[in-house]
Amino acid sequence: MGRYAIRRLLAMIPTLLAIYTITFFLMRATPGGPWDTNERGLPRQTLDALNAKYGLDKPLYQQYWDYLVGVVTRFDFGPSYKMTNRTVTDIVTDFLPVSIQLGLIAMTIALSVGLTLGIISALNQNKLADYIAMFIAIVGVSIPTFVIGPILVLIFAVQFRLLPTGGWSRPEHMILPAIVLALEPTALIARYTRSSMLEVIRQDYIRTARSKGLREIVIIVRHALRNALIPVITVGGVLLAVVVTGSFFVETIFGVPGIGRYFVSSIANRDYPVIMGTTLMLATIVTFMNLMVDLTYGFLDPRIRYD
Amino acid sequence: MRRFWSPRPTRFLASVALAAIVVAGCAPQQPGQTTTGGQAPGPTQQPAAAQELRYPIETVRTLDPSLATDNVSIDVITKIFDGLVDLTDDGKIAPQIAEKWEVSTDATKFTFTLRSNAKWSDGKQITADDFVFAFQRVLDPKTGSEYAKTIEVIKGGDKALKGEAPPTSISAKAVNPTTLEVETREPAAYFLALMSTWTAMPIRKDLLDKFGDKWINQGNIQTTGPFKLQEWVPDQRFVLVRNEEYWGQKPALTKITMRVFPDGPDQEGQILRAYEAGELDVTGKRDVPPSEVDRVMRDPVLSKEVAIFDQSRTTWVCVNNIKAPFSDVRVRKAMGMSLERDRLINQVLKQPLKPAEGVVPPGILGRQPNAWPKENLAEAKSLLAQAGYPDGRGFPEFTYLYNSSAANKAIAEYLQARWKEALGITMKLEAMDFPVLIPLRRGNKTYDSFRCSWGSDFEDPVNWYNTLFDSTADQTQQTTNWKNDRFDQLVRQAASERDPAKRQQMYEEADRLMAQDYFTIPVFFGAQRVLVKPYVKNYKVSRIAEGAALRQVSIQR
Repeated sequence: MGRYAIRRLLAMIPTLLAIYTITFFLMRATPGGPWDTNERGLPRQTLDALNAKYGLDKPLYQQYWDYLVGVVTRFDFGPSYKMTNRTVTDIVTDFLPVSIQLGLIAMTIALSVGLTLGIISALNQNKLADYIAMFIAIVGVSIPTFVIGPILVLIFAVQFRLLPTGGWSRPEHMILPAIVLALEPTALIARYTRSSMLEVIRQDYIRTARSKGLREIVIIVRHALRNALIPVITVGGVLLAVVVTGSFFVETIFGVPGIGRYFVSSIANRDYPVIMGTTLMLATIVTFMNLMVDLTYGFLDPRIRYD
Repeated sequence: MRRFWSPRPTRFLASVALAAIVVAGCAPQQPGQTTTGGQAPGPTQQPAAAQELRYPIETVRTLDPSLATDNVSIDVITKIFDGLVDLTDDGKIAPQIAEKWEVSTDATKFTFTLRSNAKWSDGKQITADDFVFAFQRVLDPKTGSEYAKTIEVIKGGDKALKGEAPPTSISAKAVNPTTLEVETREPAAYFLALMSTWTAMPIRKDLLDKFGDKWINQGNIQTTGPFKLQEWVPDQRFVLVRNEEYWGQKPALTKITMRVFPDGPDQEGQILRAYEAGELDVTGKRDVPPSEVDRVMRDPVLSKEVAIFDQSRTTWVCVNNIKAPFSDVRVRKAMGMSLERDRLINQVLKQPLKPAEGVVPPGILGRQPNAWPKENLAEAKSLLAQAGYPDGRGFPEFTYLYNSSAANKAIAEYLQARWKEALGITMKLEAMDFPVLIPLRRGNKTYDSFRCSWGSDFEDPVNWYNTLFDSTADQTQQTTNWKNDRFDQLVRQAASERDPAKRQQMYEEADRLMAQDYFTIPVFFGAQRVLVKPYVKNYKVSRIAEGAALRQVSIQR
């Protein structure tokens, strides 16, 4: 298994290189440059000076290579063109931990609520409890965060003044964003759990367990849920990667200083190093989570081998 | 393998729940804050009559005056930096760090006498060298100052900016610590007004040498204004406190907490909700969002807290003066005269904007509003017919480019519908990202029309007539491809004219020429509808980029 993990880690290199290459040329092919974001267009000499300052006057292949070398040899992701006192590394180290913290809380909520809802509805298929749980799940995926977020703010912050409208310094600032961020993963996990549970509880070994006279809770938890978790883990791993790298809408609605909004603002600003840095960060986290998911399968199902 | 997996997943669920409690129990992670010891938590309810203001801002990019170009950064910078002089709302030059100045008769040499008691926030004296260094830095191409052009008129500035001469060769020198002497390349009557802008603020060389780009960070930065930076938590808040070293009258406010509302589609809504929840004392300079205007104006409490401030800003439609059918002045006039600006403003945009007859906003010298054509549908139709397009027949379909935003889209759709119904002409809309639009506007000779807008950097006619409309002015901005030799000649003369009466006359004649050629279609002048709690006194949003001036604000409960 160790060898498998190492092989997979090595396989990340060409993946990341491909992502770097595609992102580099896509962002440079996008019309408009980093200095075209101001109402006042810049005179030629200022443009030239800025391009020279950031090496944008060099041939494209040279820029492609220089940046890559900087990343690999010095772990240098470059300066932000727009935040004059910050580098990409500053931005990621400042804001990624916030997103991870919020994402982990949201994921915890999503797992506990989603699994519970999924199990309840599978065990009560086509009964009232099933309908209620699945209604909640559908609401969770179908109402966008930018609708539900402001509604919750209006109710809890403006109307009843129980929670702050946004910001990020006290624990109560986390409640609404964590709930809103958890909605979609909760719903997805609930639905995946339900369908795979339904499949599993019809299996022969469940009937065997029942006929052995095991208690229902033991059957559900030890025999059914564990086998039903594989598809849930698969989707959960990707959801976790997405959730810990921040959400543009949740972060802007609640004023959470996370990394998610930089995916959007860096593109709007044509802030090339920030686009590249955040993309590589996301790519690394997603590929790494996929590896983690694959390794988890072995724990859940001993029949899975990694040779 | 098996041993890693608890045979009783109930325990797993329990540990998940436990983890949730543990994680939720932590205080939120503070970005960019390395010191955590005893920091007071974010904005909370204030005790009565504390001279503290809670003010919203958006994403701040920099506090470096030499590099700032966006309204938000400038909003914070103008609270913590003073320059040589201030340009007051009625257009007068008031002393700030310079207590007096002399201007040579040909308006090319400016000698400023600095206050000997003007100090940086760390108590060091503000010297003429700090200004010389700032000017040299702005005009050094390596600095990459996007607003360098503003002070390029300093003698030698153009050469320095092109890299043909070292920045130290510009004609700005410190005769002694309190005497600053600057020469301009050509007579520049507006030079004093220019010295009020953020680009001309002093900078401390020792801080740059020591901290490099990070000289503006919390703890490193030293400033010259009535407030100073106490705390900067990136993307969260700025805390400004009164600068006790300030030479002049100290402001009443002791603390300003600026909460950052990140740029997003519902920013104004978020600011409004935070205001209604009692987390802000003002909505800053941001409008009440159009979807909330009716509710706010009907609300017995909120409607009394509404304040409207005019802005030195105009939005207009640029049309290509060298391309048919826009090359015909009758077509341009017909388009402008057929609009119903009141309806656009009150029913579509629901903003307190003012219909614009001309392109230069109130507050700028030279305006001749009466010279510009008035709204008149019958006459518009007849002009269009005279131009050869009766009821729009034969008028080619054309395109209007704009940078996408909810308001810009509403404006574009209004124009499209109105010109269709009033004149029978068809306009196609094309929305795009701002960085895509800007290069398209640059020196474009083949476009049809696009959205244009400009706000004063400083309220002087030179920032409009010369910066925008002189045909040799840098055509990267509001390209209409319009050229009128008499206009060019007038505004160039006016820029260097020292006699205010003559200068005004020249700009007035220039404005009449613009009206006569009607080279562009004015739509509206800017204004902001903000909310201010009744206990905040003397709150006023500035007409230019800098947000609200807070030095005269006080809290009276």
